Amino acid sequence: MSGEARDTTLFLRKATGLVRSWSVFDAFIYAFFSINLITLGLYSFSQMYYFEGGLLPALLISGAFIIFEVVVYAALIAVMPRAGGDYVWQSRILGGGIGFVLAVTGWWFILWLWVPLYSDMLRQLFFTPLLGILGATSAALWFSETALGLFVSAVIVCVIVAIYIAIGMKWYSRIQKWCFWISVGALVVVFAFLLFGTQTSFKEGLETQATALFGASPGVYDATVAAGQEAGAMTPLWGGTLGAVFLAIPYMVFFNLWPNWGATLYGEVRGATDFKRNFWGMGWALIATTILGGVFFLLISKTISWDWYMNANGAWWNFRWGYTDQTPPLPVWPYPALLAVFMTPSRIIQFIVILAMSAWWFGWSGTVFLSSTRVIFAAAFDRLLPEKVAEVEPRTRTPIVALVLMVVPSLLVSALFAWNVFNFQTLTLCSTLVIAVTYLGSTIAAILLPYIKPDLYKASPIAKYKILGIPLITVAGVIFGGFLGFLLYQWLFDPNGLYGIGLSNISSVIYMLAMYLLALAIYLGFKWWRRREGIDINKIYEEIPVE
Amino acid sequence: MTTLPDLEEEMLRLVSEAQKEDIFLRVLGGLAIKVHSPHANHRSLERKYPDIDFVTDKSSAKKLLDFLPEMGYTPNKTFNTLSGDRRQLWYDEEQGRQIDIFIGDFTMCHTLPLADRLEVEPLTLPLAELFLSKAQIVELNRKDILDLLALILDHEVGPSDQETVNSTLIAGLCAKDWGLYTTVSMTLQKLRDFLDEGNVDLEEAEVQTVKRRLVAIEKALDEAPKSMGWKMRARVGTRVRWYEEVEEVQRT
Repeated sequence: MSGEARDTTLFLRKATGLVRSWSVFDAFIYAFFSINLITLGLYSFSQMYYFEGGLLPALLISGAFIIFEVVVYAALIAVMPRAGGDYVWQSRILGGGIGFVLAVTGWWFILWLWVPLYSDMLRQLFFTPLLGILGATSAALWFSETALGLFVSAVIVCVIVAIYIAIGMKWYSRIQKWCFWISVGALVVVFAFLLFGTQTSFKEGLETQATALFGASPGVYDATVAAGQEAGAMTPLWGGTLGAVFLAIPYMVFFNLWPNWGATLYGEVRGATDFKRNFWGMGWALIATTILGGVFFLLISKTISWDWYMNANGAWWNFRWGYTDQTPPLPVWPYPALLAVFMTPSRIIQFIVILAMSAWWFGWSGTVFLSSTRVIFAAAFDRLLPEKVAEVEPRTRTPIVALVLMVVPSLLVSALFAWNVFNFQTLTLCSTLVIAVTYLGSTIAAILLPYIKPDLYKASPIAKYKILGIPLITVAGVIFGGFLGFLLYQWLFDPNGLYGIGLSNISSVIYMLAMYLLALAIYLGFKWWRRREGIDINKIYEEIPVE
Repeated sequence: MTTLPDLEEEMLRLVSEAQKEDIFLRVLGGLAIKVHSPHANHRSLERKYPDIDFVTDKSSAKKLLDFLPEMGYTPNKTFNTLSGDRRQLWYDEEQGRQIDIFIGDFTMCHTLPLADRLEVEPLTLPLAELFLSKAQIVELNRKDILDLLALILDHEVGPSDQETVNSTLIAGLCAKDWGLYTTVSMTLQKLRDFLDEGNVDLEEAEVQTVKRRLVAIEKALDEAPKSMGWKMRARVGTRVRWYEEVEEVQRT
């Protein structure tokens, strides 16, 4: 008997093995931060003050639908765990044109609009509360209220994110991990404040601290209620008809549609061909965030009181969106963590808790460009963008050209947003709509995968998962695709006038159309250029890219 | 420039050309063991070498971007863009071979710090690191076992680096890292089992030599003083995974 035949316990690794940069836990943290309860969550909840459907059922129902998104993406990743995610799947399953246009708009161009949104959250979660606690009231309000304060925040965001991208995946995962533990610890402290505080102690704390830190007038509690009612604040915690609850969901998904945000990075995650691992990496992020969100709602309701919280949100956004000239009685964004620490007079405790809570922003901020770089690289490797775009500067390991292509337009869009040129501040939900269209492309690719690419599907680890004989990826895709269809209908046609980004908003239509046309022009232009060079782009799309 | 068909000659060409360009390259893996171990050519320890593994330092890694294309190699652009700060893959398309370059440290199932050890040998990593680069693999394949047997058969185990497998260094690294200690201990046992099962056609004296040296390494591992952290991790044991998962890069 030969040695080869006898030593059956040995393995058949062909070449020197590779340890990918990220573990499944790293992918979980990335997903957890991508549906960030404190940044995206509180930001969108605060804007949802005028809905009739309860936020708690909207949170739970949207989470139930988004689980099918996790199934779809976990399956696609297991079939093709490649850098570039949606772009690679769509271009290989549906065709290069669709893949390029949808991926480039959803993972690159629309991220320009996310920069001012990240910036707005940075100033409201970090600069304003911390400066206020330090006694720099004017500086705090300058950041909070002025267009220049928002633009300066956008510049800071771009610098921070450029650093994140330059340090590489290994270091990014370390920082992300530190931020994760700090932010979870800080949230426990905020929960404790809300759990052990009372509505009386909150009211007293608010009256004392809001006047001392941010120059609010005495009687801020009652004045906020009045301003909120004038703004039409009404959203309940629990209740409303099922229809009303469903109508709240298209706004809520601004926060929780993104557990798959790391999908473009899975070429760098260990064991990405394992469907179950992928599923739980993203699925636990969604489940944990949904539970934490529900707990936060209940604690806010117990101590701050739900009605007061919604009134404060109404008062703030009514002013920010320009429906009134009256500065809200609480002159800063009603950040629940700040409201919670108002219950202690200790500046040191206030400072430490709010600083630690900012780890939610810092651990998450890299997501604005990190996932996008992989899509840009993948398109460049396919020769649909200049090769320079995918080059990494050897000394700093920074993809300088790719970064410039993200940062420069982001600063331009941030300026338009900050000074509300062309009504840019009404476009917030466009940031979600365009990505949802991209997700719809991947979802259709997932539904069709077993039928368009049967060999690829049958050879994949997901082929064994079926429901009543139908591939799981198809079943999950149909359910999630239906959910996306509902969201897109509501956003685009907006029959109840709730979202403000549909066909009735000219700025929104022009902005989105311009992005799709730009993407199409780049695709057709490069395809033509490569053909002149003797390269047939269609042939490239027939093959799955190398790792 | 075209590459050479003979892998060993190609390896020597690359190291020599790199030196002229002031680029630091040291060989590791099976080919490095072959350089040091005549028994790697023994009929029962002989095996094929499909690729060359190198290690380099961070400053030289930047120079490789110009150097290797001049030498006839094509980069794996996707991989090198995403992971090129730690590892790079280059292809010799003409000969159908691959070059694998570790940058800074060696990371597979466990991480071996190499920064202070790169200049011990002129062509390869020191023998202790060559031993560990194989012994730290949890899922050993037959080629790994043959390489380890050849290395141990041809080199005494002792407290220095001079054509000796430095057991003091191995024990020191294992005393800091319970995971590495565990995998290396498992590998030592696998080597013994491999010999006992008659999987390799060595003289009885050669088998005894290898076994004696394996015992020497094991003794060094056990005698090295362990930290409190090491002992606490040992209590948890293998219920919690103690190594990093290793995958293969798919070329197509």
